[in-house]
Amino acid sequence: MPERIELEHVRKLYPGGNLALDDVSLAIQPGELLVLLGSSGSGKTTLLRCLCGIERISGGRIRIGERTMADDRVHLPPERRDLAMVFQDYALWPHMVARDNVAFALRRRGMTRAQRHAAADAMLARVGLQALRDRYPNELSGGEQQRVALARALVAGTGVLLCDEPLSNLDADLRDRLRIEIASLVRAAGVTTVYITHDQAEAFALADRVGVLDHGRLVQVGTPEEIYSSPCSAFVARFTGLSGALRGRLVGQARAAGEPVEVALPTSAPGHAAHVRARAMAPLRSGAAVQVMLRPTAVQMVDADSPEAQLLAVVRDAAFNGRGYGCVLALGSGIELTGAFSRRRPARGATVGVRLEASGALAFADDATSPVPSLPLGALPGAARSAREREPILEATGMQALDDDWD
Amino acid sequence: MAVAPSPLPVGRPRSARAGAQRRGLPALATLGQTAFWVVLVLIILAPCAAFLVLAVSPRLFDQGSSYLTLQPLAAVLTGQTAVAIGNSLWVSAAAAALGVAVGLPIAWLCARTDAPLRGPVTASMWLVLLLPSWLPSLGWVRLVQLDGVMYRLGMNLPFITHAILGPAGVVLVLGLRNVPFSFLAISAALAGLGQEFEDAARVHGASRLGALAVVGPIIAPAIWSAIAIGFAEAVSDFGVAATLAYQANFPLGTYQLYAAINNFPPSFPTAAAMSWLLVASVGIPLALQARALRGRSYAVLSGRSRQATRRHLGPAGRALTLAAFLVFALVALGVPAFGAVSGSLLGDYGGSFTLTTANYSAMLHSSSLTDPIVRSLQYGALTASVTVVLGYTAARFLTRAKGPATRLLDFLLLAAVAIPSVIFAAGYIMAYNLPLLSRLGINLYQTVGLLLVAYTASSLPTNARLLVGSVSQLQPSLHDAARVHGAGAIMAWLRGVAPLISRPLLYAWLLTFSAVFLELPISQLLYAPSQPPVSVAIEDNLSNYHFGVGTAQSVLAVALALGIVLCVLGAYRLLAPRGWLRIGGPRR
Repeated sequence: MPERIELEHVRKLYPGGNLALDDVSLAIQPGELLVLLGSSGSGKTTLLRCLCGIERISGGRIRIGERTMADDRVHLPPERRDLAMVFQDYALWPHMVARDNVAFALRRRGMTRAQRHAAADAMLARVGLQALRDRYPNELSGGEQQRVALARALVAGTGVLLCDEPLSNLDADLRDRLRIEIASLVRAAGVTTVYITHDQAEAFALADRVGVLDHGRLVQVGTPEEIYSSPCSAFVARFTGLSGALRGRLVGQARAAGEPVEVALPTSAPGHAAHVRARAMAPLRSGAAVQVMLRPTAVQMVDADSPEAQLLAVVRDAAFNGRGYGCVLALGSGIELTGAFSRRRPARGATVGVRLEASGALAFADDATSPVPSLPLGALPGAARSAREREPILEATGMQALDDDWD
Repeated sequence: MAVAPSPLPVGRPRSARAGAQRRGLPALATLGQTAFWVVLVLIILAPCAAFLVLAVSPRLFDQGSSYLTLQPLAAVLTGQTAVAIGNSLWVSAAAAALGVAVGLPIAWLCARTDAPLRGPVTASMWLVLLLPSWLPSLGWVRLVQLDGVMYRLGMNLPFITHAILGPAGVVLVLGLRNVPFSFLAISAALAGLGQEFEDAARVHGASRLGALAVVGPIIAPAIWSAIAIGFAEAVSDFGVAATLAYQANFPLGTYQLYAAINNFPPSFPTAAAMSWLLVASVGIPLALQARALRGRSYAVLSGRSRQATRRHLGPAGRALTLAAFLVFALVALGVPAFGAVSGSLLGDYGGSFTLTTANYSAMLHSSSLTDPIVRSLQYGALTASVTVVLGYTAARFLTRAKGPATRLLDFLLLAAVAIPSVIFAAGYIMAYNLPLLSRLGINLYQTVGLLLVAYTASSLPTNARLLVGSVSQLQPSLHDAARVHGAGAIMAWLRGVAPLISRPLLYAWLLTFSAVFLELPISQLLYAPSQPPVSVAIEDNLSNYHFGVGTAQSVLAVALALGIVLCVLGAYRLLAPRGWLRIGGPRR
C-alpha cells in the first residue's frame, strides 16, 4: 500500500561541518512520483540516504505513513522502514544469480523459499528477464542489471520506492526506454516513489512533481509545468533548461510576478538599446537591473531582414536532431543562445534574425556585480544594413561573413 | 511489458512488529569501535609501550637508576648496534623489493594466464609461509658451509659459500620469504580487478605490456601493501638473523637486540632502545605508501565488474613459465626441505649417510612428542579465528574511516609488524608481570591465555594488512542494499558482504594458523609450564642434540600444516556455493 512521506525541517550535518541538508520540509502523497533534481553536491543523495535510514538525520523529522522513521530521539534502521531502493550502481550482489538477487527482498515477508522464487520469477518476467534468471550480474548487460535492480525493488510490494539516479550509467537510448519502463512499473505498482537525478529532461519526463535542491535547501517544489514556466529563482530557471541569458534594465515596473515587462539591453553605442519583452518572475521596480532567462522554446530564428527580428545573431553551430536543427547563435560580446530550433539547416556563419517569445523570457532581479556585457551595434536589426555595419558582431564572434540567405 | 499491480501475497512487514531504535542509546557501532580500541590498547599498545618506555625510563621498571635518560638510545647509535641497524635497513629494503619482483609476475601468471602448475605454485606459496624462517636458513647453511653437504658430495665451490654466507644470502632467504606476501596480496587484488580495465587500455592503443602498465597503478594498494609487509617482516625477522646472518658474521638488528637480552648481564634498556629504531624504520615504507596512494580511490569491485579471462600462453611461454616456477620452487623450498628431511632420516651421531625411519617411529610412539603438535594445532586454530575477526574490523576502520584515529591505527598496526616477536614477548613479560596487575587480580603470566593473546596480538597487524586490499574494493552499496531490502545489520553482512570476501578471509585465517602453528620466539618466552607448543618441543630436542627426532617433528608438523591448508582450501572449493567461488577467481 502506498505510503505518505513527510519531511519536517530535516537537517543533516556531517562531521567536519558540511551541512548537506538544511531545513528541508516536504510532503509526498501516497502513490506520487516525486523527482528530486539537483546538481552534484546539492544534497539529493544525502536526502535519499536519510529517507532509507542509511544516514542519520541531525535534526527534524521523517515520517512514512503513520510511523516516525527518524527524529531527535528515534532512528529506525533501514531494514525496519519497509521500503525498497534502486541504487545508482545497482548494488547487485555478484555472488547471487538474478533470481536470488530479486528473491532476497522477500525474506522480510516471511515467505518460504519456493514462494520467494516463484514471486521473483514472476517479477523478473514482468521486467522481461525470466529467461536470464539464472545469470550472475556480470553476465548481464547494463540495462539488464538495471532491470534486475528494479525487480528487486518492486518485488516485495513496499509502500515506498527510492531511486538513486538509476539511469545515470546507461547510454542515451537505453536510458529513454528504461525511463518509460520505470514510470510504467512504479505507477502500476502504485508505490510512492522518490527519484533523484541531475537530468532535468529525465525529471520532467518522470515526475508528478519535481523538487529542486540547491546547496542542501529545497528551493522549489511543483509540477514540471509549474517549475518550467514559473521558476522561483534564476538558479532554478538555469537548472531546468535555458537557451541563454540577457542582462539589462527594466523599462517600467512589475507589480506582481507574471506581469509582462519590457527590458532594455545595453549596446556598445551610447544611446542605442535593444528592447525585448519578458515576464517578470517577481515584483520589480522601474529601472531595476534584471536578467532575462530565455527558455529554448522562446528563441525563434527568422530571416535577418524580417520585421519580426528583434536581434541579429551569427549561427555558430547547427546540430541535426531528427526533427530539425538545434542551433547555437552568437550575439557577440560572448553572449550565446543555445538550442534555438530551425526546420532548415542554417549555414554556419550566416547572420539570422532572432525573435524572442515573451512567454519564455523570464525576468529576474539581477544581483550580479559583474559588468553587464553590451551587445554590439551590429546585433540590432535595421531596415538596411551594410556589411560594414555587421562587422562588429562578426568580429566579436570570430566568424566570417556569409550571405544572409541561410536556407 | 505487463504493468499489472503485484499479485504477491505480501504479508505484514516485520518492521511493523519492531519497535523503534532509540537515538538516546549509544550506537552499536560506537560501542564496537570503543571495544576494538580497548582490545588493541591492551594487547598491542600497552605491552609494547611499556617496553619502549623502558628505553628512556629504566627506573620505572627497576632496570636502571634514571627515571628519564636518553643514554640507551645514544648508546645503540654507535658501534656494533648501529652497524646492525644499518644492515637491517638495507637488507630489508632489498628483501621487500625481491619479494615483489618475484611475487608480482607469479601472481599475474597464475591469475591471468593458463600457465602450467598454477595450483602447485599456489600451494608452494603456502608452504613457504608455513616454514619458520630458521628452517630454510638452516637448510642453506647446512648445504653450503665448509663441512656441509655440498662439500661432502664432492662439490668444492667456495664462491657459493661466500655468496650465500653473506649479505647476498641473507637478502635471498628473506626475499624469498616475502614472495608469498606479495603473491597473496597481489593475487587478491588481481582477482577483484575486472577485465574491462585491460580491455580499455588495449582498445585505446596499448600493447599487452602497455595494458599492464595501465592496470599496474590500479593494483598499487596491493603492491604497496606487499612492500610494506615485506620490509616490516624482514626488519623484524629473527630466524635468519640468528642462523644464516650469524654464521656469516653479518650482524642484523634483531640478533643484536636478542644478544642484549640474552648476554649476561642482560640489558633490557638497550634492547628497548634498539626496538625504538626498528619501529621508527617502519615509517619509511608507510610514508612512501601514503604518499603514493594519497587522494585516490581504488574501489573497483562491484557487481558490474567483468571477470578476467585467461591469456593463452604459447609453447615457448609455457616452457619459460614452467622453468621459472621450478626455479622458484627449488630455491625457496628444495633446499630447506632437503635439510629437514635428510636430518630426520639420519641418526643423531656418526658420519655415515645411512637412512632410517627410527626417528619417526620413536615420535609416533611417544605422547610427549605428539602432544605438542596437537596443542599447537589448537592454539593455531583458535588464534586464527579470533585474529580474522579483529583483522577484518581493523581493515574496515582503515578503509572507511578517515582522520587521526585511522592514521594512528594504520601506524600502530604496521609498526607492530616490525616489532620482533622476541621483543613483543619480552614486552608481554614486563607488562603482565607488573605488580599493579597482580594487585588488580590479573595473573596471566605463564598461562595459556596470555600465550594466545600474544599470538593474536602479533598476528593481527599482518592479518589486517592483507585484508585491507580486499575490503577497500568492496562497494558500500552492497551492504546498504541488503539493509534497505530488509536484512538486519548482521544478516546484511553475512549475505551481502561476507561471500565477496570469503576467499580473502579464508586466506587470512590460513596464514595466521600456519604462522602460529610453528611460531617460536613468543612460544619460547610465554608458554605455560609443562605445556610446550611444537616449536618449543622441536627447539628443546635440537638443543639437546636429538637432531633426528627434532627434525622428524619439524617434518611432521610442516606436513600436517600443509595438509590442513590443502583440506581447508579443498573443502571451500567443494562446499562453498557456486556464486562465492566466482568472486576472486577468473573464468576457467
